[in-house]
Parts: sequence; C-alpha cells; structure tokens
Amino acid sequence: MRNKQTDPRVVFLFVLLLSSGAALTRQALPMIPLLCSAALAAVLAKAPFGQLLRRLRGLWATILAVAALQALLSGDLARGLLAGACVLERLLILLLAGALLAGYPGHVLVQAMLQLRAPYQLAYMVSLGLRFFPQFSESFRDSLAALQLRGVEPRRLKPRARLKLYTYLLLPTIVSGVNGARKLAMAMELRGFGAYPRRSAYAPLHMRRGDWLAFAGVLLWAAGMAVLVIFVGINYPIG
Amino acid sequence: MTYALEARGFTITYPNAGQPVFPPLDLMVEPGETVALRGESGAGKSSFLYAVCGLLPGGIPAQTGGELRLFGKNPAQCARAELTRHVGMVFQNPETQLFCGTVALEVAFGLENCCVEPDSMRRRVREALELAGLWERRACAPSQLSGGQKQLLALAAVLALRPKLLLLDEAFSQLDSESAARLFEALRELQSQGQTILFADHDDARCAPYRNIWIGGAAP
Repeated sequence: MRNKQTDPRVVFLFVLLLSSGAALTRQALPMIPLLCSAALAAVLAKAPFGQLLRRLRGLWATILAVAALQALLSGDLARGLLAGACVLERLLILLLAGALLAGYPGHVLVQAMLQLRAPYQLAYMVSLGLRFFPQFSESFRDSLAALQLRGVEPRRLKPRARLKLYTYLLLPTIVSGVNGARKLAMAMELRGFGAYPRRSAYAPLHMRRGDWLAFAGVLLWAAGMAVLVIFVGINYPIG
Repeated sequence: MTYALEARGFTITYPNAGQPVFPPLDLMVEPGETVALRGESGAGKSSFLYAVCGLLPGGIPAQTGGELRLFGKNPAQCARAELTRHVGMVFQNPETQLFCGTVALEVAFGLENCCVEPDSMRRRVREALELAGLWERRACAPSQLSGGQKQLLALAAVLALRPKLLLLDEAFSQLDSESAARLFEALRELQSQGQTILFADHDDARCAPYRNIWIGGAAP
C-alpha cells in the first residue's frame, strides 16, 4: 500500500516537532537549523515541494507583502528585516512540512491518523474537507466557462461588475458543493459510518525496522535541535 | 409473513409544502422479490427510498404519514447499525458516493465501519469486486474508472455489506447503454441468488420483467 516510504506516523511526529519548533522560535538565526532540517528531510523523502510552491504561487505576493510590512512597521529597519526573514523562514518550514505529508496518498494519512488514535470521524472529516476544495474550485471554473460560452468575458468587465459577476457565480457553486457533500454524507452513513464506536482496518500500517530507526532518528534530531536552537538563541540573540 | 418492505398509506410532506409529495402509497415487497419503482421526475421516488433507508425524516427534514416497515420495523426508529444490516442504497451519481483512495478501500470502507474481522473483510471485498468485475482494478483510484465502472464500484461497496434489501435510485441514468447493461446483468445475478431489490428507473425495457409500482399516479 505504501511501497518503501517511511511510515507516515514517523513523518507526523517529525512534522509536529518541526512545526512546534518553528512556532516557538522567535529569532531568525536559530530558525535556520530548523529550516535546513526541513529542507533536507523534504529532499530525502522526495517531497513534492516544487509542486506545492507552484500551487501557492498566487499567494507569494501576499506572503512577501506581509513580511515587508512587518519589516517596515517595526521601527528599527535592521530588526524589522530580521523579523520579516523570521516570518518567511517559518512559512517555508510549514510549507516543507506540508510537502512531506503531501507525498503520501490521502488514505494512508487517514489510516495513520486512525492508528494514532485520532477519532475516526475526525480523520475522515479532515480527509474529505481537503478533497472538497479542489472540487469546489473545479465547479467554480465550470460555471465560469459556461458563462464565457454564453459570451460574457469577465476579464473585459470593470472591477465592480466583475466582482458582482463572481458573487452571482459563488452562490450556486456553494449550493452545489453543499448538496454534493450532503449526498456523500448520506452514502457514508448508509455504509455504517459512525454506527459503531470503533472500526477495523482493511490495510493497517505496520512499523518496519527502517521505520523504527527513523523514529529513533527523529527523537535524536529533536533533542539535538532543541539544544542547538537554545544555544544559538542565547549566544547570538539576533532578530 | 414478514415482508421485506411494507408501506401502508405512506406519505411524505416536506416543510412549507402544502401537500404530500405523492398520494398515500401501499406497497408490499416480499423477501427475494425484485420491484421496479416508476414515476415521473419529481414524483417522489428518491424521497421514498430515503425514507426506506431511514434518512428521512431523520437526516432530511420532512413529515411522514401512514406506516412504513422494513423487515417488520420502522426504519426511522432503527439504530444506524441495524439499518446498515437491513438496507443498502446505490445513488444516481457515482461521484457523490466514492471517496476512498483505492477501489479495494472503497469496498472495505463499510466493512471497516462494521468492525468486520480482517480475514473475513478481505474475502468479502474480493467477492464483491469479482461480482462487479473490478477485482483486477482493486489498486486503482476510483477516479481512474469509467462512469459505468464507478457505478459498479458503488454497487460492490454496498453489496459487500450484504444488505437484505438493495435499493437503487436511478442508478442507470448516468450510464451509457453498455455500462447500464453490465450493471443490470449484475443485478440479475443478485436476483437469481435471492437478493431483494427495489430499483427506481425510467426505462420500460429494464422494468418490464418485474412488478412495477407507480409513484404519484397510475401508469401512463
């Protein structure tokens, strides 16, 4: 089911420790080892980081604007630039963590969440929620294409008219999305979803020797990283 | 005798609608029988099937009148676990029923929910997929299947749970003729094994061999 990939539970642990480290660290310099670790892990796992970056290309201008704004508003320019760099580093770490998980098929991640004792309703809700967004955007694009085929070209409209047009399109798209979700919920319920407090597994995950080694490696890395980040943070309090 | 399905003067009224969706319905389905549910679009076939599998009035707000019994029990008052054993339903659009990562996991989903033991689960998944002719494609993502195969997969996913009564809500309507014929062949196979089937359909030829019940009026 998952070829030679590391057990996703080990990756979940790594991502949890990594993102906690990124959220707790407040300085740009100590964040660098975390960023390097995340990048190295993404390379080793052949995570689809480039693909994720391309998908988020529309957001990059906003992210850079937020970082620049943080730099400008802090008063001291040098300190502000470091604060902006800190924001960027944190975002990159989170993206790399996301890319590490994105390398696994959805059903393997759901199974990992279940075996980590997450309530199965929650695990499926997350998985289906993630599936909803691409479907929603596809449905919106279809509606837009249907409109274009009837001779309306949104790009030629004035911003206000375009906004109005998008508002008109959004409502039926949301309604159709909600209807689809309701049908899906009915289909799931009819197949016993939520009928019993626990469930069995068709393809349970098993930790192999390599996974246990990776698990030990993650714990060692976390301990080493904690020492390094605290040491750098105390001795080189930059940013 | 306990009927598989028994409706006496059964009606459904949606909120803010002045009158029931269809006139009082009387219907008895014996175990092992196949019945075709007929009626124009909007006549209330789907609503009736939702009521049979306990989704209405529970999940869908509506008022029901008369009496409805599924193997002697009111489906609206049955626990979900019990209903899962009694009734399974295949919807019109396969896209809204399939959500798992692979064909095999899709069929296993219901069995996992019902805590079926792994060995038994693997056997039942295989049986259901072989009946649907999809065993060779068990490792594929459902999105890689054709429309007809998706509907067969939806059927297999329901059949794996071995429901006593199988409901099909216009399951053929989005299929090309070849896929519809294949799905119908699978149903005939099930019927010959004694499966009780109630299917809503518009096609005269498919409905002809079975007892036809018209909802919302007599046959045109």
